Amino acid sequence: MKCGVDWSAALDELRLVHRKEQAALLRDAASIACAASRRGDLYVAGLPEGRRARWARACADAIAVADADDAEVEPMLRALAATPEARWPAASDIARASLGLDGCVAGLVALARARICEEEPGEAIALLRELAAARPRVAERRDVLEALALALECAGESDESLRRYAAALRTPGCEPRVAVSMLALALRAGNAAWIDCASRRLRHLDLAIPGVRARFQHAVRRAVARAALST
Amino acid sequence: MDRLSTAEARIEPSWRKLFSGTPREVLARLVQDDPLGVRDAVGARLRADALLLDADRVHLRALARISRFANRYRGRPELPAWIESAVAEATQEVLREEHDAGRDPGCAQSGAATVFASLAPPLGFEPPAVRAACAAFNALPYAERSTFVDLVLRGRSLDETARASGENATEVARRARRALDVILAHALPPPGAQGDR
Repeated sequence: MKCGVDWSAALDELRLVHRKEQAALLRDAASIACAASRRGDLYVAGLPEGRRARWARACADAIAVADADDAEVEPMLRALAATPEARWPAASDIARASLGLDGCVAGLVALARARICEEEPGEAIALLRELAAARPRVAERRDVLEALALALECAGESDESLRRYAAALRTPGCEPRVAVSMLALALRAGNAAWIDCASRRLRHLDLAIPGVRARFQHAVRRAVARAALST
Repeated sequence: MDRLSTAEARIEPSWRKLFSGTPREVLARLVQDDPLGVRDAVGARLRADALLLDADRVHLRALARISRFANRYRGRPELPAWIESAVAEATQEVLREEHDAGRDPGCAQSGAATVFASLAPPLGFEPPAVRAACAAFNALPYAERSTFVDLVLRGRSLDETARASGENATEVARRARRALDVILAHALPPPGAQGDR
């Protein structure tokens, strides 16, 4: 090849890109499956809203181009694309299929979130603690710490949950919803220091911006529902 | 980005033709003569971000991503911006994989990272150690990475680097030292293992 690219290496890379795309679609599918459960709705951060239709289109495209390239398509992805959501397998099975394609931090977080939904927060906590200890990159650290804080809250371990929320807040780019979750839990725990920490993060939130207000209200509704569930 | 602008001027009217067909067919066109100037875009990205990554690997990933997602390109954003975003995604993916490799010693040892196999011996290091050192370096804040790259890899003087960054020379030297410490901490064997070398 004239620009010095090894053709077989380029083809391998294309297969890898197909695999990674399918893994990401399976992670999204696991989130969609989580959203269908009560626990998932309350204890899994950043669940998709109205993403099902986009996912179906992206999935159809991914399968079509992989087939056209004679690249492998993960059987579970093909099955999910052809099956109504109500008959999908457990979220953790979907997350494990994604990990089979791409053993990345995002896949492990998807598995942990699925285990929270399946009422196994202990397993999720162990997995997320291990991930947090491995010092993930900033973008992944945010997700790991938020998922861990929520899992701990779900398991009733408020002290460590608050510490993990605080660590997530210190990570650049952390969403205001983490501060809302932390504030709600700190108020329930009556912990003045953590109340102050969370409210400082929310002080400059501009609720006049419609998108910000909607996300804030959604986070508050979920935090209130979690509080009601835990009492 | 001159190369991209030139490439765009040459091929934009026919990007539809370049991007038609299956990803594999698109890839076959992209590896011939690099019509989109992807290799230059990768080099520019790694230099701008002061990253120590295998540029060939990022280049291959970028070509593969462009080929895969070419069927979604509709002319917006402008082609150079779209190529740059594909290069940025490819860079982030490879960075993530290199960081994750640190969690899995088996992966760190893998032969996939051939650039480290050729880079390490002249420096007197083991390839997995150099790979780990580069991954640790890439996780440092940008200011430390870029200072180290300017001073050590590009050979600029301390005064020149300080002037360019608007910082005092002491702070610039401290930053480079922190980066060097991180690299050496990962590249050198643990003290107890020195005798084995």
